[in-house]
Amino acid sequence: MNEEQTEASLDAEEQQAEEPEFFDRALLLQPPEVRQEYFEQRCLIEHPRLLSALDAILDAICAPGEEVLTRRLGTMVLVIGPARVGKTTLIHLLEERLLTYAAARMQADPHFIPFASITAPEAGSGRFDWIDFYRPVLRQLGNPFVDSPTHSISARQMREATEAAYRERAPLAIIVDEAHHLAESTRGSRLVAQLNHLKNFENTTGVSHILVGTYEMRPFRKINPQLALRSIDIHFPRYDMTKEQDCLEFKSILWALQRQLPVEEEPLLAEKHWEFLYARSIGCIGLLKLHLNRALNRALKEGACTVTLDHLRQTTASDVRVKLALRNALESEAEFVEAEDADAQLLALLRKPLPCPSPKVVSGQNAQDQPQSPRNQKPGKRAPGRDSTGLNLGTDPALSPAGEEQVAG
Amino acid sequence: MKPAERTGIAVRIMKSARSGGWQSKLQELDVPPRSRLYGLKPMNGGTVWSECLTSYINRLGWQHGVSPRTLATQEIGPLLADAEWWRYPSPRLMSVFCTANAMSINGSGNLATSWSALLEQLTSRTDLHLLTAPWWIGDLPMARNLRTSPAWCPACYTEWKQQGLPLYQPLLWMLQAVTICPTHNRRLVERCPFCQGKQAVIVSHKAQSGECTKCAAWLGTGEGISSEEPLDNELMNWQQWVVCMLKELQTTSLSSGVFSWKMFFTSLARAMEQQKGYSQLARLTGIDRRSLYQWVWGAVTPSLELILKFCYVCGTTPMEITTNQWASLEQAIQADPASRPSPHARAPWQRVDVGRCQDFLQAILDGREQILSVRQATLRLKCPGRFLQDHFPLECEQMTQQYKEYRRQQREKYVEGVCEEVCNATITLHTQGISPTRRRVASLLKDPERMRMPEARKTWQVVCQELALQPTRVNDQ
Repeated sequence: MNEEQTEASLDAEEQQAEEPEFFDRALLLQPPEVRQEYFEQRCLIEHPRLLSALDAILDAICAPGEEVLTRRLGTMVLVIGPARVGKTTLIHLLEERLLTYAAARMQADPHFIPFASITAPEAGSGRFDWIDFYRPVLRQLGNPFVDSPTHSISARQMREATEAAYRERAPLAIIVDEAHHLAESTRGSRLVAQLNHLKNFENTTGVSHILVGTYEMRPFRKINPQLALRSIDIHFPRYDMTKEQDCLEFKSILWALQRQLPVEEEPLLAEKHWEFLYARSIGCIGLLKLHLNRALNRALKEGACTVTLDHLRQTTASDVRVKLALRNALESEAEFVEAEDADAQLLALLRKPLPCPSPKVVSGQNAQDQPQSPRNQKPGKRAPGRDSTGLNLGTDPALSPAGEEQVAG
Repeated sequence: MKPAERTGIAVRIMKSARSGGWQSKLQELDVPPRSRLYGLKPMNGGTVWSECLTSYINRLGWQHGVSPRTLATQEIGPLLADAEWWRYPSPRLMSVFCTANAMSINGSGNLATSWSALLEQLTSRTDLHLLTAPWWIGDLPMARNLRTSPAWCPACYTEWKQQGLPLYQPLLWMLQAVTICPTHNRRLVERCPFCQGKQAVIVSHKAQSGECTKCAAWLGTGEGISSEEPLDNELMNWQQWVVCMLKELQTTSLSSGVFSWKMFFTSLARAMEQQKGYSQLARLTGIDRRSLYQWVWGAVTPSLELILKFCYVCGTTPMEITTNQWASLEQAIQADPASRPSPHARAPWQRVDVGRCQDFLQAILDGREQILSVRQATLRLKCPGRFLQDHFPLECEQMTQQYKEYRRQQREKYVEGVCEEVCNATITLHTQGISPTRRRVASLLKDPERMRMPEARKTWQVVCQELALQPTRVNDQ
């Protein structure tokens, strides 16, 4: 009996240790705006996807080992995710981490600046103007002339000045938020030119660029074969309800957040309303947090002792908007999922340089019933192409000739 | 929540709301603020090719994307004692300062001390004071030791440009005692070969490194630079010895502090008193005996060049005399003639062949010889200074006019070539369907800086008008 009691108490202690912390109850004595600010600005939730993306970025720009500041030179990192998934929070965490790592070096070297973090401006009606990139970067890298009213840097000198700033301040990375703006009003060869512009900086100065943006950045991944191989993609996705682990993590996140809502009574969001909150946030933690911010604001205004379902419903995003976001997310996520036989496909392509569409093997059908391609014009001459060896390569629309099946003989 | 559904999710409470950039977090991390200006590393510090402070200022300005004068006006001026003058500097006075007075920044006075200290503060460096002359030549007054305007070696500029190295001005080139580049054994140049202008010490926005501060022409070797006259061995030996001595002085200063010449003169006085060598040394070195007395009494401080000349002829070095090693000096006092000829000794009077000079001048005027200026002809004929002007005034005047006309024609040809290049580039772009903006046209020229010439711009505008292009379409943004 005693052993059972000990075990039960141990279990209870373990459970308590695993439970997320509550907010400081003294906060309840503060005025509503202070409580709102606490939850909205100061509660930062470090969830698995966020930390995973953060580690992936740091691995990409810094070589592993004790010397965390031994950076990999000139890497372009594309961090892509749906809107309101938490990309800006990711950037804040990345900045904190880089500052912590770089503190010792900053103490030793007063010229060193660990990073520059900017937000790419919208292009407006015209093309993206690189001056709008150079200026904030120069500002962040401590050029005192960029904002001088009388002796500012001329437009002609901006690029050279930026390159000099990269060399002299030796930042680990240039972080660009809303990087999808670089692609606005820009297609095809101009987009290649934009990315080559950044790549040129990386090649000459060794400074990495971390471009963070929405799924509108997908063309960046495959605009050009050279760029495709010289950049690293980091997908920062939403939590997917179809995956059990994601569900668990989402509920845990919700549980942690509900305990930080500075109200008298803890709202049981994770227990009772998680599906509703998931549906309205489509698994994006940023959207979830935004929703809870608004609901808390409503509750505090009404002087309620907790956040209720009514508060959540009154402040939720409309289903039309959520469906639009979900549709975009679902379409875009598919691009980041590799086929199960991706390795086999690549190996097959490497062995057979000429693209060869796989014969469609449909059960119960005779090969003679399969549609035949137009024969070679000269009778008695074999059609070009290799004979099928029976390997089912699958078809990749980007690689195989469209709509043509070759028949031997 | 059920126990099975728990996973470790941490919520971090930040101390304050997220606001401001990383700069606001420096205090928390106990990190000092970042330097206001870039901490550019001085070129070749600690060697005989060490950069001078004004060259460092120029490079610092260019690295920040502004003209060096802008950097001086905005960042250094307001911190100086006479900050009021720097707040609203008159363009003319600023030009005068940057062209002439600024050389003192490389010297030893208040200007040098304050500028080097301020630059060290702004760049968070501690070695910029080493770019001034006292750390080379000791506590000598700088007036007769530093040039009034920068000199340079065209071959060095060309070599550095070809190797992709930064162009800068070594302190070596700023000293009057150094007249020959120790690497290329050619005379240092003080005037632009195109406009004959002297260079500004702190550059304005018009020029980049290696360009004339007046006409933006390239100062390296190339077209327009007249061929170098051969140097005699004595001069080269003397200059190589000078550079060795400077290196010795620099090493001593860097290890033991600024070299004090008082010890040199004290030791010299003792040596000459003991050896009773004033007269002999005056005869050997060509320096007046009275001047030697004034040296050792401290009444007059000679220039570095004169001190080095004295030591060169006596076969000794400043360090040997300072450390009371008088063996070479004693030998020099007893020996006759001197072990080395004086580098500035007046050549013995030589009869000049007047007829030969007249034939040569006439050949130049008739076009049988290359067109030369009077000075160039004097050097070619190895005549004394004003010999030709005194004996052939008419011919010299004609030669001067001829040479001016020749230079004008050369300039016209050069400008014509540039205008043709601009015209072709503009038409090429237009035929390719590309808007021929000024920047694009400049990028097609052999030297893009040529686009800054007024004639080039005029040509570009005329061609654009002829192509019926709207002005707004071709103006640079």
